[in-house]
Amino acid sequence: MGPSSTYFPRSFSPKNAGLETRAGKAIEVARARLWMATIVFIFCLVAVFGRLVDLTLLRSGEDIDYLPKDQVFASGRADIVDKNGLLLATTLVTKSLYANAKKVQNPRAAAKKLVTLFPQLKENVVYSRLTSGKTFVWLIRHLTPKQQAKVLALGIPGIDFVRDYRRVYPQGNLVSHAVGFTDIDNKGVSGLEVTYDKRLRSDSAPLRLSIDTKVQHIVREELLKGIEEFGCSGASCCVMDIRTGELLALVSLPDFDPNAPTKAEEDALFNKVTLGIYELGSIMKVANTAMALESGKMHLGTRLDVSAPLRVGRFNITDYRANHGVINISEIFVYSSNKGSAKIALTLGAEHQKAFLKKIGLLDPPQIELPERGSPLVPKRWREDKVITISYGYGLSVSPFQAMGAIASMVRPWGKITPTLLAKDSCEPIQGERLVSEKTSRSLLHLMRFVVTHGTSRKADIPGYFVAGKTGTADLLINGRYNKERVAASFVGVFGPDITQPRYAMVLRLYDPQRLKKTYGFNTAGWNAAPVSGRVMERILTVEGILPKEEGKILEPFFQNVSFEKK
Amino acid sequence: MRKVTCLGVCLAAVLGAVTYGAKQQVMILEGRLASLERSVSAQKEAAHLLKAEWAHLTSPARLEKLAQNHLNMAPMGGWQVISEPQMSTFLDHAAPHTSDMRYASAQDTPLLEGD
Repeated sequence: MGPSSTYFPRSFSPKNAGLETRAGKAIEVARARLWMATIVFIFCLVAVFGRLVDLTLLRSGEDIDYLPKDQVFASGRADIVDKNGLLLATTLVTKSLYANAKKVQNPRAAAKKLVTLFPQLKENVVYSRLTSGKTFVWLIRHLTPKQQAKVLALGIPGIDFVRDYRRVYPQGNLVSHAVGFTDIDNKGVSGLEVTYDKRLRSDSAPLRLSIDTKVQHIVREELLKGIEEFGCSGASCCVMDIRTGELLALVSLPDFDPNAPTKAEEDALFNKVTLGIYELGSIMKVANTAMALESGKMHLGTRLDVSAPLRVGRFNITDYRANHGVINISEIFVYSSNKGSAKIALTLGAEHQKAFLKKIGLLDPPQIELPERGSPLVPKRWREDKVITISYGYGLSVSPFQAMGAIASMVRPWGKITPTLLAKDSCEPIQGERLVSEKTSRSLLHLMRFVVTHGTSRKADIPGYFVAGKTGTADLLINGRYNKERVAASFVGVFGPDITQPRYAMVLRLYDPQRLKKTYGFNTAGWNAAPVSGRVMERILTVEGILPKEEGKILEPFFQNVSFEKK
Repeated sequence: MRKVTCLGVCLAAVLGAVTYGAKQQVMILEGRLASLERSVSAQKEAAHLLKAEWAHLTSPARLEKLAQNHLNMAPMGGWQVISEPQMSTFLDHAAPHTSDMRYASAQDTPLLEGD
């Protein structure tokens, strides 16, 4: 009971307490005070003891600074990687600057200071935010550590940083159209970022694409050189592993930097491979020839007279080179005869043509994981003039990748294939429904090979390798009229070690190539799209370590004794 | 009776002390765990940043430029690749003329051209 016991020993007797003396009264008062003090002290001790128990044993109110569980998936958006695991898109932690407008003391001076650091800010905008009276207003998002240090050095009260996330594309322009980009709040805006928006938010495992950055780079670089060389306004190309349908490259030029998409021009944001639909010109003759061979009414040696003039409306159909007289189906293809192709289509009729194009999937919207996906523009009435023009590639517009998919599906030994942008685990050829007979598949490959060895695509040939292809030059429709001076040159190709092992399919387009001295004034695909494609294919084959095996194997008896003159 | 009570009180005191000690130990460990987790997450973030930088630094365009400037290399041509059956003929042709394989080019070996 503390020191009080010394003043009031236990021997203090109660009988004295009742004394009505001054001393007795004083003792009464002292006693009452003593009790009061005792109670207060006990109460305090109990409180202290209780708090001690609470802190050490119960630990209420204590917050162990664990990371929130969702921090395991800290960035909130999964990475996107290429076929080999190289990073294409990732999310990094940044700092963003906000203000508590209620705490900013001198908004005018603060706004002035901030604008000197960030010239992209407007002083009156910053000022109005700082005077808004709100407790949270964004000032600027995603600062670099250096910028952050500079802001701290300004020492403005009432502004602070908050942890923020930013989508970053380390490869810059390289895969812009396939991967796409996100807005400032990391929501997908274009490309695969849109298609897999939910998946990227919910699953932290990286999304693995079929794109091979090496191949993508080769294609992009050669296209850039091609644009420079032939003075084109743009170019596009995609390369597919013909066994699995994986798109190894998808390039549309001009392209943009997904790290700063707002700076891009509209043309650069447009995907010319999957969204743009075009009249593809002579490339369509692959389909037309396949239709002839599949009809049962014609074979490779069937001879057609193409000497008589052929008219569509006011226009005479001409062949690129001189009139051919009587030529067979294989020659019509290898020499790319418009009149011959039209003859084939007219013989078989509109319904037949429509049904065949439907069967190979050129009349329906294509399948691809991108939101930028162009549906074919099919004529409303399939009249005779359409039958003729569609046979050599006018009057039906499709996206280049869809045309490549259809052609690859016909020529590959394993049937139909759907191009995809997601990586497959195995490179085993995918078996699909057969669109044409095996014999037709082989014949088409041979025919396309002859186009490269003897026809218009000779500049695409790579000695030692199997390269098959078809060029197409389409006049551009400018103000409703076809302009012969403005064309788009295309090449569709299949290549690999030899004819029994086609490995890749590709389609390449150059927009508005110029007539040059070195092309002897020509602007047709054989002079520009073919050599650019040749360089692309050569670099892909060597980088992928594919050994040349082409021994000029003939799989179809028809081609044993056939010879094409080099035109 | 008093002995039992005494023993009980002692036991309770000892148990209390042990429990208290254990509790303290757990608290210390939990604190360490939390700080380790934070540091792991910070390291992960740093690694992530480095990965992004690595991807940027190993972009094919940059590597190609470096290889061209510093190693004097160029993209490979189709003629520089031959298949196995051609190998023996290639070696027969190349060996007498050049002691070093590196100098054997397509110009020395016409068999590489054509098919």
